[in-house]
Amino acid sequence: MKTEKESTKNAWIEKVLNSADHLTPLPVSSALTERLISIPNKIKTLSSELYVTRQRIWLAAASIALLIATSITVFQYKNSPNNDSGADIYDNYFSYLNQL
Amino acid sequence: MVSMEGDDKLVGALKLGDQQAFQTLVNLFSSKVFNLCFNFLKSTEEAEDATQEVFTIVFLSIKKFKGESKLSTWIYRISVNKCKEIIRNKSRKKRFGFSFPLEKAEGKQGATTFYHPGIELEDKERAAILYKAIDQLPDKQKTAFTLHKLEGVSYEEIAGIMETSLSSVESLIFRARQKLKSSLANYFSETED
Repeated sequence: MKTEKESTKNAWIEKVLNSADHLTPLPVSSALTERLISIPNKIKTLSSELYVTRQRIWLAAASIALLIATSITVFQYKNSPNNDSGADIYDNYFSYLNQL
Repeated sequence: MVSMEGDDKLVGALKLGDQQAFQTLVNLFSSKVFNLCFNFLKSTEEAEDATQEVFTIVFLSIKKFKGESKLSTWIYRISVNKCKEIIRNKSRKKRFGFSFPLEKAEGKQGATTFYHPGIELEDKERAAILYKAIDQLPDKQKTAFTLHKLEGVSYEEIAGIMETSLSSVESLIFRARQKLKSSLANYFSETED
């Protein structure tokens, strides 16, 4: 009895495992084919819309570099132990004038 | 499928931006890619969108294709990765509860059984059970089994697609079959009781 049930079970499992063997591929719709064929044109249009001149790229890069350089200079100046405070600068300036 | 020599000619023309060559590529591979995506994503709309994304990637990155594998293997690899990415994004959205009302509706739909339209009527119910069981397989086993069983891809090509060895593919498919047999046996016992 048990073996009969076991063999029914095994036969069923095999049937399930083989159930997708005769799978018919789905057809590709004409709308999808059109979408796929038009990919090169779409990309070309998009890239021409997004085209940025070389001059603009260099200008942007130079601006960023300038901004970074300024930030570094200010940062170094602020953290420098030797930098004079505002009052020192004024003192030095006036003592220089007095000497004159 | 195209031979390696045919591959070279086609790839050469594609690299030059030949539109006719791209149309040939679409004619050769659109059905394969679409059906592969459909088997992974189980939705016509999603499979169509994925197919479009795959061909866009192919068009944009054909210049990087070095011909180390067959063109079909390369396209299959892109397709499998795209499908996995879509599935990952979907599950991530679900996990974080984005677009909650829609996901709730989708969850209900996802719970329904998937009937592949390309399977004969007498096998439809059994195939639906098989699809459910395949979904429970670990990622690599699922990919290898789907490619081999549902797409009819050879072990050698699967090894190329998954960038692994032939013996690994054999082992993955063997383990997938064992796992499927075990879960189907459980299902059989549950429905019998």
